[in-house]
Amino acid sequence: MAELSSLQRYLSNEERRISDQFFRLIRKKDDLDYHWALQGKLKLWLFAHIGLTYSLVLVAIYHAVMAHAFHGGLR
Amino acid sequence: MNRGRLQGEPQSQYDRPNQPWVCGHAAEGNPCPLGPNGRGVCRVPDDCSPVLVNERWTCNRSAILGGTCDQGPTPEGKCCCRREPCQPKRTLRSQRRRFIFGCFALTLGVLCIITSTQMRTTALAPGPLSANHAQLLNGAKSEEKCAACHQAGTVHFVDWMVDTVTNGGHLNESQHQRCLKCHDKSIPTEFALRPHSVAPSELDILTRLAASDSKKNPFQKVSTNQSHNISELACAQCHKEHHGAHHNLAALTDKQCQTCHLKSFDSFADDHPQFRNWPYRHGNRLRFDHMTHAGKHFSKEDKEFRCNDCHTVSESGAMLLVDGYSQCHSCHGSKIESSLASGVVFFGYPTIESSLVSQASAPKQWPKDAQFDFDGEVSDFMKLLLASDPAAHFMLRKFGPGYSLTDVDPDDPQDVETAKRLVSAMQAFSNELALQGSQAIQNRLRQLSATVNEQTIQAFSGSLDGQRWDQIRQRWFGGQPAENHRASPTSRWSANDTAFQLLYSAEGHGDPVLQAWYEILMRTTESADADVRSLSQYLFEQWSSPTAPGQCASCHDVRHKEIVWHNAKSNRTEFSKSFTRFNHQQHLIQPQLRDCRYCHQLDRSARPTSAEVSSDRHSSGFVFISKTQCSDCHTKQAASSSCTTCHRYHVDLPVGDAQRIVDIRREWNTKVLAAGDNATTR
Repeated sequence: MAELSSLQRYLSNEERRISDQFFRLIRKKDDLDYHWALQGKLKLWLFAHIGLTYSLVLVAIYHAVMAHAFHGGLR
Repeated sequence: MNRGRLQGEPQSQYDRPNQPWVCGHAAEGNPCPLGPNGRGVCRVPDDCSPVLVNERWTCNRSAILGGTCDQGPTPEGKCCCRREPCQPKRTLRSQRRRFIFGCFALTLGVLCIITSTQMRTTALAPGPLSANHAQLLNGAKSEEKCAACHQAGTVHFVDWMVDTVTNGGHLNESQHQRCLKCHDKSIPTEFALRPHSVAPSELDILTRLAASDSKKNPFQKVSTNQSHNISELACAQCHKEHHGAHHNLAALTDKQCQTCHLKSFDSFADDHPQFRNWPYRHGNRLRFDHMTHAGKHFSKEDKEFRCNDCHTVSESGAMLLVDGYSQCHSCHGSKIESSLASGVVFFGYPTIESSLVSQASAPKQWPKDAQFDFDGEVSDFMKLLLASDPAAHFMLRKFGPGYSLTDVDPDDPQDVETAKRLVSAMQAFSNELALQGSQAIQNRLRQLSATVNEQTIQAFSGSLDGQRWDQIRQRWFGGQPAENHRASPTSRWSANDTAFQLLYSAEGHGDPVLQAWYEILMRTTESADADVRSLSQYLFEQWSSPTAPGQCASCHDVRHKEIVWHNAKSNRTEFSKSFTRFNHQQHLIQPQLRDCRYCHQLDRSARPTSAEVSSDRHSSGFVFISKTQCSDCHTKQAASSSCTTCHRYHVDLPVGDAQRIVDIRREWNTKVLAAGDNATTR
């Protein structure tokens, strides 16, 4: 994008219009790549999170049962 | 709810998020319209199913797939746009479900392995034990480690589940029962779980006492409701285990104390009540007056009054104990021995008129030289033992408990008759002694009072030899030459042939027979028989005199319900548990505190304890210690001002002690008021 900007002064008006359009498209593509990467991570985290949540629920139930059995008189 | 299609979004017939499989061509943007079946097998569909119209095969591809194709169906009526079979892929939802199931199964498997193997002892432990408890588990098998303290450790996970469902109905052994299997010596088990390990009745008394000081006492807001409602406090409520080897299990925070003691307590100096009569409120059970000894007795003997001569530091250094009688002996020993030098008359024949001997039921059983006139005393021991014989009661009733043969008027027939009954009773007892020895004494004591314990009876009767007594009295009856006779060098029984007396030679301080004699007198004063009761009370008064043989009552308080022969402080153990504790050793580090008088200042205005004969406890003769003596150092920043620095939670308060504390407080308040009145008068 820096290279594209540095070419501006050598371009005609029509070429500048096309260059600006390129510039916008490149920028939009960059934004899209960025969002794609972040949302991919988010989806991956959600994917793992849901799976691990069920494990955690199981461990929590186990812990509750064990804590009740070993409560030591505390109610 | 379908979100609808966005503007510009390419049309697609392939939104199947709930299906487990997706077409393998979907990633290329060209999924087949039918997609794979439920088992993930590609169905390879044609774009259309040509229809025969007017004997010509016509394409009927839908508009979504591009409408009728240019080539049209084959002459055989098959679609010309056949698709390549794909390798269907799982949808994200399906992959997620598999992942969840995998995680769940893995976790469950790990938990099952942990629970069902010996690994659970270490894997499930929430943390390492404290050093003391860890030592208990040394050498224990892996599966026994949890079970040492937890009943759940002995059973399987299924039982834990059942217990959870039944809300504790399955595992019925409380943990405190296991705690008390080891800690039954240090904590009274009956009330171990009650607040302060004190009986509810005692705690109620103390709570009311605290509430009565509502204007001054910051503990006034002891939550009476809570103290009544708390039936049991589990050990684990305060003692948190599994916090590592160096964790202090006994540590309590001030906030924990203030769960019941609701009043906020920010600083010792500002919020703690003034000391009342600490640490001397319990007083001495011995009549020992420090002030008199220091200022009078020791100075007269030109001796230095040093605290360390009598008080020794306990093994742990926590307490200063009284070093028993050994220090007293140098002055008191000779006085006690001189009071006992002539022996204590156990049995004596007073002189009576000779005519009475011939009238008595057993004539000639009276010393020949003691027959001429009514004269002489009946010994105190004899009086009490004869009281078990109704014949002796006539003398008691006629002349009172202080009777003697001198009181008898030989010209009064009634007096003579009364004396005759006494003589008969004495002769009967003398015969019993000759036949049964000490057994005769024991039998008479058992008749007198059922409350005298057997140990006391045995101690009092000693080792009197009946045969020896018979020889002695036969010699007296026959008028043989007088001799001072002792049965053997070790025997404490001797005969005075001149006075016709059987004497007991006490061994000096701590003589068991004299101690038993006081105990017997104490019990017989509560006898149901009025004659015995009045006699015992009279004898008790006589023997309570500081000049009585042995001088026991000059130091020991024999008026108390339980006679204290040993100073309680000398027997006090490290485990005597009151609400307040004080460790001398920690304080003696400071040079100025090594002089006991820095804290324990003699009260020069105190009355001598010998004057306090009506009190069952005696002043130590010290000025009460004030709070400011402690509050200089006991701050949050210095020597700590938390509750448990000086106070115990578990106390050993026998039933009845709470009322005693109330009485002591009341007595102290009365003294303070009296002192205030005197000051005002002056």
